[in-house]
This record gives sequence, structure tokens and C-alpha cells, in this order.
Amino acid sequence: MTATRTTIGAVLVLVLVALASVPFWASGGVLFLFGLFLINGLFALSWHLLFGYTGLASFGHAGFFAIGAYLVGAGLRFDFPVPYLVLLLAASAFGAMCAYMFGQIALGRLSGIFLAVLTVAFSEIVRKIISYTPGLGGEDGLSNIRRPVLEFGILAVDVSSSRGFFLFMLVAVGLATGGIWWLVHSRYGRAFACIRDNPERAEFLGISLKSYRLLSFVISGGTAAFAGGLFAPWTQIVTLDEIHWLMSLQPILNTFLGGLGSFWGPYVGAAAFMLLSHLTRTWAGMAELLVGGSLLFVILLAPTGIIGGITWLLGRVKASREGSARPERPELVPSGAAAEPRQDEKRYATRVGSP
Amino acid sequence: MLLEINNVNMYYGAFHALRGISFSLAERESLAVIGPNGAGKTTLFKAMTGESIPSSGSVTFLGEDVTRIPGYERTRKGMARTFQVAKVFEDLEVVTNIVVAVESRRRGLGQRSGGFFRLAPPPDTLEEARALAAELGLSDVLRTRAKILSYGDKKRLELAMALALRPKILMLDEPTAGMAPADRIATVSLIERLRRENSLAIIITEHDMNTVFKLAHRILVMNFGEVVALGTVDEVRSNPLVREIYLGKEAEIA
Repeated sequence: MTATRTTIGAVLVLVLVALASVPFWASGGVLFLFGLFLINGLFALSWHLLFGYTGLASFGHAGFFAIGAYLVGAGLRFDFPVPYLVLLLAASAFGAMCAYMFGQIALGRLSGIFLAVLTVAFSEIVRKIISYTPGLGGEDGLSNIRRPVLEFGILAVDVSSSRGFFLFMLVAVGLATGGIWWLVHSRYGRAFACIRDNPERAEFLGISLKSYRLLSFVISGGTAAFAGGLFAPWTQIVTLDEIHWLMSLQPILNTFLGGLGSFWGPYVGAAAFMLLSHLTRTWAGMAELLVGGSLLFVILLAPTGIIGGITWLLGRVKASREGSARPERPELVPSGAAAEPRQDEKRYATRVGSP
Repeated sequence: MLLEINNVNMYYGAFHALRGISFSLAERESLAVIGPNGAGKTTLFKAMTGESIPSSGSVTFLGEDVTRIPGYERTRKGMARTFQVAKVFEDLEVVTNIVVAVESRRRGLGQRSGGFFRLAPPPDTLEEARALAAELGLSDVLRTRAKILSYGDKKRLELAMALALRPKILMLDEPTAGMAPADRIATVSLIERLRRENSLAIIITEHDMNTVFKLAHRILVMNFGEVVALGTVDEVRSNPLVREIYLGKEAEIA
């Protein structure tokens, strides 16, 4: 284990302990924001798996999030005779299944901007289906969603309080994040990286582009639905806002803000975004301006996001201490996630353009 | 026969890019495809590798019709290739570039490499990658990101990746394009050595006649999408038609 990895591990443990302490000191409003941070972070991570690690862009990721949110929301609202954990996992599996069906149709011949546009269409279809489904509340959405009691055989854990459910989310998000961390660092992650880096070369190394893209898509969609399934009982209300295109933009912004290409980028971005919106909550009308402005600032001045900026600064400090040359400025896109368009496995398909 | 190309035609719209190409290749044989620019060499290469599907005709590999089989499956069956401009995974380290090729081969054979939850490549995979890197003179740059390799190193890395697949046939698209004369000579002897040691069959497209004459057992000359001549180096060299349409321009080299 390298020194950096040990440091990151130590920071992670500290962050986890700090997060676990939040319900014991924070006010209801602040705790609520911390909960949203966990959900948005996981949602952004699911998008980053697709874009940063496999080189596929989705502009309609809210579709998967909403599938999870509405399924779990309806299940709790109408007292389906199913334990919450089963409901949550079923909703994730359903999200993954939708991603599979969508991917089967789209991923065979599409990648890049064509795929991205098709994902927008997908989320709009989900939106229409939800808004016309009786019982899902149409424009008003589902409200009064109750928080569940977790049943493990003879043991039941009541997480209907904010404190309890927050701790439950911390565990759930931690497990999902751990799973994705394993995935992108395993041989599957290496195959994803090949496809992102150079799809044509990957194909002629015997790597099936479609299978791996599909795998990434399914896991990403399932994880987004999982995040949605946490969102419904946390906010206790689910509306069509959750599938608005702005919601699809959220994981993209969080990832760019935090640092494209670094695993923890989506969480750092989600935290920064949450902090910004919280600090500017009273500036009626000015909030969007400030949020947009800071994003512009980060993208123009620190294109690798907060993590990239910090890494660069640390490098400079270290270099000036050792009296050596200044480190190179970070590249615009460190992971090569959005390299210039090049010919894909199908002659007509191109990859996504620069962000 | 290892590879058989049977009456392959390719149309791009109304343009007839390949006109009934037929030839075959035995194991361990080396064939060079030459011809002026626009003769259809690259199109033929695409039909052989699976990058595009011919409009008619068939491609048979080890007795199996692979005409409509996608590139990654052909690769698993033993057809490896390199590109005109070396394609490597620029963001990955040199050793990882080779490791993914080894892992891909094992996966294609249904071999599990290491335990399911294992993160790093297992020792035997790493060892194999290191050995290949050593064979191609890349030992000093194992931990370098492929992006900052020199052009010649990238070309050799690509060869290492192709060899990691343990192919039966290696298809090289202009393996010495853009190289300095000294590199070119070294590359030619490297390819020749690799072909002998790994019992490979080789197909190359190439512009440099010295490379062609040194590497190829037989030469296929194309012009306007047709096979103009196919024969041994000496046969092709003395073919008056070939001299007229192709070598005539470079008679002093030939």
C-alpha cells in the first residue's frame, strides 16, 4: 500500500467517523443537508462510473434515479407488504434492468453524443410514464412517504427517525461506494479504462465493447436507482422535479466540481455544492448566479476540479520546499474521459466531445 | 490454410473499393500487401480484421467463416493486429497496457486469473507482461504512462500487446511508417525474429520496398481495388506490369 493510499484511507476513516457523529450534534435542517449530500454523492458516483471510467456520457441519469425514488416512494406510501430493504434492492434491480434494456438497444451502435441524446429521451419517457401513472400523484408527486423499520429476522431496527435513517444511509452509501471502488480497481475497471482510453484498440485486444459498456451502464443505472431509493424516505416526498433535466445535470456538475477522473471527486463535489447552496440559501435569486459563477470559476481555473486543484497546490508546495521546478498545470481532462472525437468501432459513431 | 480471402468485394456507395480479391495464407507465412495510395490496401485490411464487413465474398480463418464476426471475437480466435499510427492505452502504464492484453486473452479462453475479488493483476500475469516488455526492450519504461513514450516505443508496445494475445496471425498496418531509417531496420529484424520465434503468420501493408523485400515471402500487389500480381518476391519484382504501374515510379529502390 502506497503512502498516498494510506493517507486517503486515514482521511476516509476520519470523514466516516465525522459523518456518523453528525446526527448527534446537528440541527434537523443541517442533518437533512448532510443526508442529501450522501445521496447526491452516490448519484454522482454512478454517473462518474459511466463517464469517467468507461467513457460513456449520460445526460438523462435522473431517469434511473427517479425509477428508484418512485418505486420505493410508492412502496412505502401505499404500505406494500414488502420489507424496505427488499424494496430498495428490488428498485435498484429494476433500475439496472431498465439500463440493461436501454443499453441492449443503444450500446450496440451508439456511443458519444448520440448515446447522450438518447439518454435524455429515455429520461423523458420515464417522466411521461410516471406523470400518467395513476397513484403516483402526477404533477404533485408522492408526499407523506413514511420512513421504514428495518427487519432482520427477529431483530428490527427502527430507522424512522432522521437520526436512525441517516446512519442507515451512511452504511448503505458506504457499501455501494465500496462496491464501485472495488469494481473500478479490479480487472473489470482495467477493461473499462481500456475502452475509455481507446475503444478501437480495446476491441482488437479481444475486449467486447458492448458487453463492458453494458455492464458499466447496468451498474451505473442500478446505483442511481439505489440512490433514488434512499432519497424517497429521506425527503419523504418525491415529485417530477426528481426527473427534470436539471436533476440529470446535478451529478455532472458535482463530478466536474469535485474532480473528473478521481474516485472521490463526485463526493467532494456534492459536499461543495451542498455547502454553496446552503450558504446562499437566503440570497433570493442570487443563489443560482453564485452557484453558476463558482462552477465557471472552477472549470476555468481548476479544470480538474477541487481535487485536481488541491493536488496541484500540494505539488507546488512540495516543489518549492525542495527548490525544484514548478509542477505542470493539471491537464484539462486528466483521465482522457473526453478526448477528441475519434473513430469508434462502428464507422458512424463518434465519442463524446470535450466537455 | 490459415487465412482464406475469397472473392471479396467492397462498395462504398457507388465506389467499388475491392473488386473480387482472393488469396490465401499458410501458417508461418508472411505476405506483404503493396500498391499505390488508394489501391484498396486499407480497405482489404479492414475486411480481414473485422473493422468492416465486405459487401460480398468471405473471409475464412482456420476453416471457419469469420466474414461477419466482429473484431473482438476474431482477436480471440487468434487474429491480432496493429495500427498504422500506433494505438496504445495512453493513460495506462506500459506494464498495464500489456497486462490488459494478457487478461483479455485469458478471459477469451475462459481462464480465471486470480481470485474473483482480487484487485491487482495476479503474479503470473504480471510476470508474463514483464517478460514480453523485456523481449521488446521496454523494461526501462514499465511504469511510464504510455502517453509520454517515444513513437518507436509506442510501436513496440503495440507489438508487445499483440503478442500477449498469442495470436496465430499478426496483421501489421504499415509497421515502419514514420520511422527513421535506423529504427526501420531494427523494427524489420524484430518483426522477423518475432515471427520465427512465435511461429506466426504475418500480413503487412507497407510502402517501404526494402521492408517488404526483407519481411515478405510473397507479395500481393493491388491497384484500383484489384489484385494485379501475387507471387514470390522475385516473381513480383520481375513482373513487367507491376513495374509499370507501381515499381516503375520507384525503380531505383526496387
